[in-house]
Amino acid sequence: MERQRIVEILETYRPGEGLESDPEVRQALELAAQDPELSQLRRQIEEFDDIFAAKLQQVEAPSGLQEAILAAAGQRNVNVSEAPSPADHNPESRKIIQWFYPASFAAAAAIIILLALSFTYWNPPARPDQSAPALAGVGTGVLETAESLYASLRPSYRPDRGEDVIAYLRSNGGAVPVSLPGGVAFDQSFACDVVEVNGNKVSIICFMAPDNSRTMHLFTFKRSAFPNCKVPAKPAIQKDGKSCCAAWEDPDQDQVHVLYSDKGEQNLRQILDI
Amino acid sequence: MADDSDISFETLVATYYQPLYKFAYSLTKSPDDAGDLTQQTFLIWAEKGHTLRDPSKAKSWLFTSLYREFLRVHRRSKTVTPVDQEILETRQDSSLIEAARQLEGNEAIEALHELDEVYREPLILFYMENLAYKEIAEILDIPIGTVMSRLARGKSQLKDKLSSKILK
Repeated sequence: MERQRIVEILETYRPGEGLESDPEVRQALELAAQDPELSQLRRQIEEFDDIFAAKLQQVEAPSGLQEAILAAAGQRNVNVSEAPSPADHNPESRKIIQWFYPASFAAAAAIIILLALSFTYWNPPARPDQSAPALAGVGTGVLETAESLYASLRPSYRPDRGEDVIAYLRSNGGAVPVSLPGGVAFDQSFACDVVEVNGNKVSIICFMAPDNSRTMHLFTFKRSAFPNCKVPAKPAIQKDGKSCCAAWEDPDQDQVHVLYSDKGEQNLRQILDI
Repeated sequence: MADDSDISFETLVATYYQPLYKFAYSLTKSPDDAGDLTQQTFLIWAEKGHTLRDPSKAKSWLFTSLYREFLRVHRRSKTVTPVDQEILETRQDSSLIEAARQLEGNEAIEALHELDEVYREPLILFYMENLAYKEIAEILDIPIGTVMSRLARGKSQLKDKLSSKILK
């Protein structure tokens, strides 16, 4: 394989996209793993991507935008406490179709069945990802909030010591986890925050992984604020497209934790030993 | 993500207004236009969100709506003729990484705006929104293969621009 093609593949390769199923991508990754120069190139590509993405994340929405959106929606008589239901839940979409001509109905049904069969033939259903439990299992607010917070991460407090983190979270009404994942000391935390989303306080702790190789972000929610959530008792990977995190609950502390690693799933598994 | 049909409009706004604003700002480079686009996107949701059959697609739906609204407002044609440039291996050394580290958020957006438009939009979604390639393809209404080739070329162009700035 030409070096230029390997570089192109390395530039667009991202774990979690399923690209490894392409033999060319697999070969490029293997070659990159064996060749020190290409290995370094891959690391530099990843480092550049991480830095550039972090720079773009610095952009922040102006204060008051959220309120302005809700106010504008209110003027249009949108019930802000209630989202529009999806089409399948819309009573209007449940109109009973009246077929006056049975022959037309039969012909249409036959066409639909033929189309469905041919679609299934040409597009066999994807095999479910056995490594990732269904994201919807945790859902109903926790993961969406964590993802949004992770996407716009700007923790306001930079502690000097681990005890400062705990004091800051407590003084701002945030939940304090008993410990950080992977046995990381609170002293490894370089930033933290407590934010309020829809009346629920979320603690954010950003810290270095034990080997200092990457940054991780722990979001801790109050468990009782999400009574309908089904949260695994032990850390489990949650995936949605490129987004990947781990979630688990600590019922004794009335807490739900969501952990993100800037380096993705493999590092999450490593630190959580899953 | 999870079932967005369970979320109120208020929660939907709280969850997505920041990432949508960032996307809008990176497209327009104007805080006012970005705020308007974000607001308009949620108003479109309020009006048409019920047409979404798969509630878990709310995020993609919002980004797609914002992008279409951006195209509509800016009266741009979506038919583009990308230059089929060859991807040359660009500088990947520590000075390039250091140059990226020195950038401010706005400078990073400026750098993206120096790229050809066809490369800029997938790169924004790649870097800023952490979206899967499939989602990027849906939002921009292009095949996944095109997303990937434009990302490779866009990244190459971005690094070339940053490298030439280092040399100046």
